[in-house]
Amino acid sequence: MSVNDRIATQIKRFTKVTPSNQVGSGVFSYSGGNPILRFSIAEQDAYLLSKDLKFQFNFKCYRDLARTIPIKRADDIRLDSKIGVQSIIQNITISSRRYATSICEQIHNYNQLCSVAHPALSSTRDLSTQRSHEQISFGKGILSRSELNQTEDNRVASQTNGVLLQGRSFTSNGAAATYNGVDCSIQIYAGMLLQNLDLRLLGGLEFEIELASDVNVFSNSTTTANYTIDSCILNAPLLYKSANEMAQGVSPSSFSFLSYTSLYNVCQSTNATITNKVGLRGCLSMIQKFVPTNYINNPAALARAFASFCPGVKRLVYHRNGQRYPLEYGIKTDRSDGNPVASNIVDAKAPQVLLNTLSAFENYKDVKHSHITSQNLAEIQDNYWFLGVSFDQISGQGIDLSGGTISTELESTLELPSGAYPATPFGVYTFFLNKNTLVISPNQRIQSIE
Amino acid sequence: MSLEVSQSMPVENYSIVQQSENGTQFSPLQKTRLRIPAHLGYVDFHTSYLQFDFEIQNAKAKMEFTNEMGADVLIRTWRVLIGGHVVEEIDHPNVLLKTLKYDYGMDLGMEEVNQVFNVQGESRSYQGLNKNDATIDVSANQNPCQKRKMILDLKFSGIFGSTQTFPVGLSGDVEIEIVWEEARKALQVVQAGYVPLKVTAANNREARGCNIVTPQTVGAKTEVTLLAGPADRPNNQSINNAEDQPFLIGQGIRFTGEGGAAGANAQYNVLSTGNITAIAPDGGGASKITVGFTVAGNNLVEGSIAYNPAGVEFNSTTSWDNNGLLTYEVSVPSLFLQVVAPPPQYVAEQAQKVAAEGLSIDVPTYTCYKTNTFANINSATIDIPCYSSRARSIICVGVDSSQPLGGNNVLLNPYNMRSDYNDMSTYQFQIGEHREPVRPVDCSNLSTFQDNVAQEQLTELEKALRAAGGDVRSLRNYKDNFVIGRALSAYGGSIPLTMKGARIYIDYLQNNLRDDTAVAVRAKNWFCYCHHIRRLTISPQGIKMMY
Repeated sequence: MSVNDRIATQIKRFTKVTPSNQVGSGVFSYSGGNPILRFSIAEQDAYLLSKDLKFQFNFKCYRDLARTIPIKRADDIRLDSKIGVQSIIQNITISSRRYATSICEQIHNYNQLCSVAHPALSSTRDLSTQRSHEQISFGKGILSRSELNQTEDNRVASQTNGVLLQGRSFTSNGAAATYNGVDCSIQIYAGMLLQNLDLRLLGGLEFEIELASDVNVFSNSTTTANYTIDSCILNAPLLYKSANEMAQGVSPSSFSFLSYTSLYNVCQSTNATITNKVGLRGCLSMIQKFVPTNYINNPAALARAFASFCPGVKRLVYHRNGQRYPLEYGIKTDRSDGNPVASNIVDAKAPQVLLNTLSAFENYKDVKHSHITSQNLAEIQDNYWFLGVSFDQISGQGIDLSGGTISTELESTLELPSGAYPATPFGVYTFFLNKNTLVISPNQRIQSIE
Repeated sequence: MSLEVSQSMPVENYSIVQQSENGTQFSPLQKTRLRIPAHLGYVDFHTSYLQFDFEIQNAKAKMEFTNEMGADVLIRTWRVLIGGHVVEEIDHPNVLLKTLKYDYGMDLGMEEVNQVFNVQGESRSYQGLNKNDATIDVSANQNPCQKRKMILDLKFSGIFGSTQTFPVGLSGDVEIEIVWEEARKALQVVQAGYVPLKVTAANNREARGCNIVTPQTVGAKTEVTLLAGPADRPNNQSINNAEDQPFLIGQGIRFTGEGGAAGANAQYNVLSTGNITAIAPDGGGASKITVGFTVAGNNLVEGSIAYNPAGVEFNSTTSWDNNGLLTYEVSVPSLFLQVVAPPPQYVAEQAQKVAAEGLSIDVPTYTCYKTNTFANINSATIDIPCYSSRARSIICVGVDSSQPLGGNNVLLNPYNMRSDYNDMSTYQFQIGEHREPVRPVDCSNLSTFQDNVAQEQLTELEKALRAAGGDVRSLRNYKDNFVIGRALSAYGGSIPLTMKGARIYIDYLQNNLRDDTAVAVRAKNWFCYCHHIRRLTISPQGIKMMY
């Protein structure tokens, strides 16, 4: 708190943008046949303050496909504990309005990216406070210091995992007439939204949000559980340009931003190499998340698709164009063959693997809070474990992968999430963080140079 | 990297591994040498770290690190030499880290992260340093401890804590020497099986170790069942499986509590005459375990544990350090270094700078000055003969020097690296001829029953810790770790201590403020750390150091 005697030259306004494809009652849902939302932010002399951008909606959950019976507390329907209602977004596309064919960022399996990126740099307490109000997430882990030194099993038992939809979700307790749903206000996690955006330079922005399948969202074997969202708004804070900035006009200019690129593979062998050719020129880091394939799109799996499983990594090597990179050594964990009991998952704590995982977001020495904690690694059933590596720890410019391949050589046990053998195939969600540069000729074209 | 668009110069960088050059296995008090060769060119130490395998040997019980620390507790001495010049030499960085990092520098979230990388905190069964195996028999010399990989960030070091890329190609080889701490100072028997678990309701008496279910069956007793208690204390909670409890086959145990043959309110303390012979999950449910043992005609046990409350703890007559054989092994210590390859023009420019005017690099580091104060002397002076030209802060940790080491103290009195308050009344620094602060800092408030906070002392402490490079995130241990500190300059600046040095005048209360009885001043080892900056200048003539 201090006296600020500067004269304001710029105006900040919060604009509420409604979906451009909204029809009738404004209800969107996956099973109801209206799963795509489009938002347009007009070209104007303003900056979009992307980090404060919020997607706001009212979330309702029903037991039947006719959507006449709202959920009750006794239904025990849950969302993923770490991302809450973020799990309803399957894909997200951000593009320029004026330069209509120019897609700036497209994230497939957005909810999978969110399930590792959000908690990676947040503790359970972080998620269970602000995020709880925003997106009904609770975090996974312990909430107080007194729980820190419990026995392993108790710590696992103390986790606030599998968050029950909070009381406000079923205030009517099944009565449709008084069912109000939950108001949510979520922050969209996308590379492009990690910095402010010049709406004049980009020619306005177009957001397309594709909703996720009901069977992946809920942690309940009730196959008819489904959701709707309505009253959808993109709350976009704009910082209008000053008179000086507007007088300068817009000249051909370059613009740099980050973006995520997503890929999906299947790992079926205990000795496998996952190779991708991505064509990126400024690749900063890679994240790989493992989920047993039979947990994906399977309501009987209780929405564990958003948990992050340890496939029993014994040895890990990264390659670029067939050569070890960026680590000139293989990471060897203490894990051995054999059938570990469910609670004996100490090898999952291979610290060097986890150190590199964190470095995909931030230097591990600078990480203060994370979900990568002892108790979250201790339980196989609903784990928080994924692979990551930073390709450029120093300059933030990334490496050129446009002409070659990037590979993950993995020796693992691929055991079932129950800790039992035989090996099971794992789906591998891979996300690349890339630095892009656009050259924009106003009113003419937009061109990616990196 | 960070999640922001960078405008920095693009540089290629990759990670390599450099193993110790004087062997692969090291024991306590041995020295490990690591070399960062000049041919690497440039190294980013901020993204580099030390990793090693760690295994406790000859243990007679499940073990953990002392002082609720992680593997940082193992570093007794840290030295960095560049071009033959000692750039850093920190004695007992583990004592410093106990204060700077663990007690004042961490919140709960950071402790959780640190548990993953270097096994901080309580070491419970498979969670920590021990095997997940309830069949291990320590009487048959089976090792209950397992080999674990540890990672140390080494952020306390001025070299490794720097965010600037370091030109080893210009400075010459960087040599690092680490001396490993004594096992009796770094290790302790898991305290879950010994520390007080609660105060009994009737007489405010202490029971220890783990609760046992009472009343147990009276008769020819050969087993007891541990209680599934509330999860509010480390050792007073539900034990869901055999591996989670602190005991092992082959260990002797002791029963404590109140009740028994001498009456319901009488305290008892009974040793089992035999050792634990079996550990198994309790047949009645998953939340109990059964410890089988032999009681040779000891009916006291039967009678005693028929009453509530009762605890079971380690038998303190066992030789818990295995007659001095308790030790550990550090194997394959390796530096994982982030090598940077800047563009040739940048390298040429730096080489020209070295040739023309020299390249200067500031290294913020610590020097430890050790001194003693004596028992029963209520007024003392601590001399800190630091004459650094750029000093930032002084942190003084007064560790109780009368602590017994080794033997059964690895169970009963593990080595404590915290600073002992001991009813101190005031302290005041003197820098050169000036007393700082102008009036002595009054800390007598802490002497009360309520552990009241001495506000000025707390302010002085926080300033000193921040000036010493610490990130103060918790003041919970303001009394348990009573550190005396003084920030020598504000806003990251420094002052010359040349020809000045520093000293501290300390006074203890005559009588404490709790019950007005005389204060028994204990003898202390004072670890006084001066945080200061050394300047390393690389010139064609070689390395120059300014202290």
